Amino acid sequence: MVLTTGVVFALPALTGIDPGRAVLDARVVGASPDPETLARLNQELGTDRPVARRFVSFVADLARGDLGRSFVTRRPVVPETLRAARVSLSLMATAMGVATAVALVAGLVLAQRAGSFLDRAGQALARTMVAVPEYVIGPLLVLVFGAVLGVFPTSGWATTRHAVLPALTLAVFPMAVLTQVVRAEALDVAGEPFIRVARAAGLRPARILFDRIGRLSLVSAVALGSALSASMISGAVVVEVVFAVPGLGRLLRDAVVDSDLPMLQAGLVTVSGLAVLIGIAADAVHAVLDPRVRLA
Amino acid sequence: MRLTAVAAVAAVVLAGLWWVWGPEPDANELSARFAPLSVAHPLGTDHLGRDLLSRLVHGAQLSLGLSAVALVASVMLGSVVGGLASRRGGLVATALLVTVDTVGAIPTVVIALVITAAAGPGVASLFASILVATWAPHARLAYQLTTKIAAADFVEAASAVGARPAHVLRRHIWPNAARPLLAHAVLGFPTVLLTVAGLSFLGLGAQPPRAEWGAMLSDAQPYLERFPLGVVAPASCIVAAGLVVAALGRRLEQAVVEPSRRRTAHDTA
Repeated sequence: MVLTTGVVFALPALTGIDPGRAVLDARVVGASPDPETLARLNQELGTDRPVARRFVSFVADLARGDLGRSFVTRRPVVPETLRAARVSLSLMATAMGVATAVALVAGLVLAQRAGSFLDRAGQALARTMVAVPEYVIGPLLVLVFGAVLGVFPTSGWATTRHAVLPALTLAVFPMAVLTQVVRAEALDVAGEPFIRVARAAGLRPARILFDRIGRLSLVSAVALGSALSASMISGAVVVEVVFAVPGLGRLLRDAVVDSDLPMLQAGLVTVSGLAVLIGIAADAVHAVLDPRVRLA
Repeated sequence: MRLTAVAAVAAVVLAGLWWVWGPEPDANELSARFAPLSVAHPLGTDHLGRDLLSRLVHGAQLSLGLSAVALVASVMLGSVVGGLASRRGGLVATALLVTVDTVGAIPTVVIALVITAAAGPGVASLFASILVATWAPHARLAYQLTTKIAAADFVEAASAVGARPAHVLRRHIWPNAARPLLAHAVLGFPTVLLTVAGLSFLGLGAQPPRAEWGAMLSDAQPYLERFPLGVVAPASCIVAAGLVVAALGRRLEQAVVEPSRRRTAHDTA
């Protein structure tokens, strides 16, 4: 099982490298406007050699953790990419944590009051927020909290206060999705025999709600985690650009805008690796929370 | 729902009027930067003195138009790949399905970054990115539908009386798969719209001075405090268009998919 998970989750990583190489080929074979860049690329990347040999040496470089120097800053790209990845990871983890916590409580409350006005309003809100992208929420939060109220800083990444608005922006989408999932799951689980048993055995309703129902709802939320991670990565790129957070997303975007190939390659490999890691982490948490998966 | 429809139609009619009689979207008067709301400029002017309403209306052309075209292309590609995988089976199917799953797992922005890096920013790259990023779910649905329909008795009967595979595909499978595919496509429209605007926002799509809602949002952000409407207006357009089409898609799905489900439930009962 571990092996299959590993292979399945490694697939995006493998293709993540392939387009990166396609970029190189397109740049070097096609009419590149800058002869200096062309010469440096040929020398640096050895593109005159056959594809197979290039691929082998690329993988070897990758294993050594050396992907060359940035065209723009002339510094080695790997340390910079890793630093940016740490920022992105903490941003995404914070957002995911906030989203899960809020969604868990909101979903359970809505399920308890299923059919009420609160339930319908909450569901409508969740459905609407799914359709509101990060690049809309971000500037609006800047407008309200930064420009009008002046409570939180709106750009940069220095203190905890800097993380509030970006994390909040990134949290909205998973929060809206997970609230709906938790609500549906909680209603499902509440009808199961083992909940009736727990109730008959005299467990307090609050205990049943949070210990039994809450736990199972969280399981379905985590199972969705790996599917959400792709959209979280896309969202993180937007959020980092909006709030000038020095993370992986902004690094990638700047690398494309500046045609900084080594930086782009390192960034793409890191993003793919990150997607794989998030998938594995989601599976691990899933196994811890759900005894049925652990047995399998 | 009716109110939404009326509001949407009214918005389209007003936009059409302004499209014909309003000022050019790129006409700038630097003397009239951040002009207040007036009859000449109902939503004021932006940081280059361009009429905001005109840019919104002309931006719709790219935001909505490109989304629609890209969606159609993506559904067509998905249908062909999914149908092919189902009809051929074996190794071809496995290879195609693995491709579908793999492409579906790559974040959209990463796909767009790679394509833009290779081909340069612009509307063509934007179109290609949307196509690559969105065809996979349609292919999966087309595969499931084709496989399900091909197992039905009437398809077997057609093959048994000697109908050629191309005829079976055109006359029996396609008509039954088309409606669910269409409903699924309409439900996918808001995602495509948000992606078009999002990539343009990142500078990976429409290039200045071309009007596009996402690009306008990004342009106006530095002037947020001075001219909040410059951000709020395109943002509202993006969200409103997404919600209206999503509501339409749910309606269509109910009308198209649910009756067929009921029918199969009846058949098996």
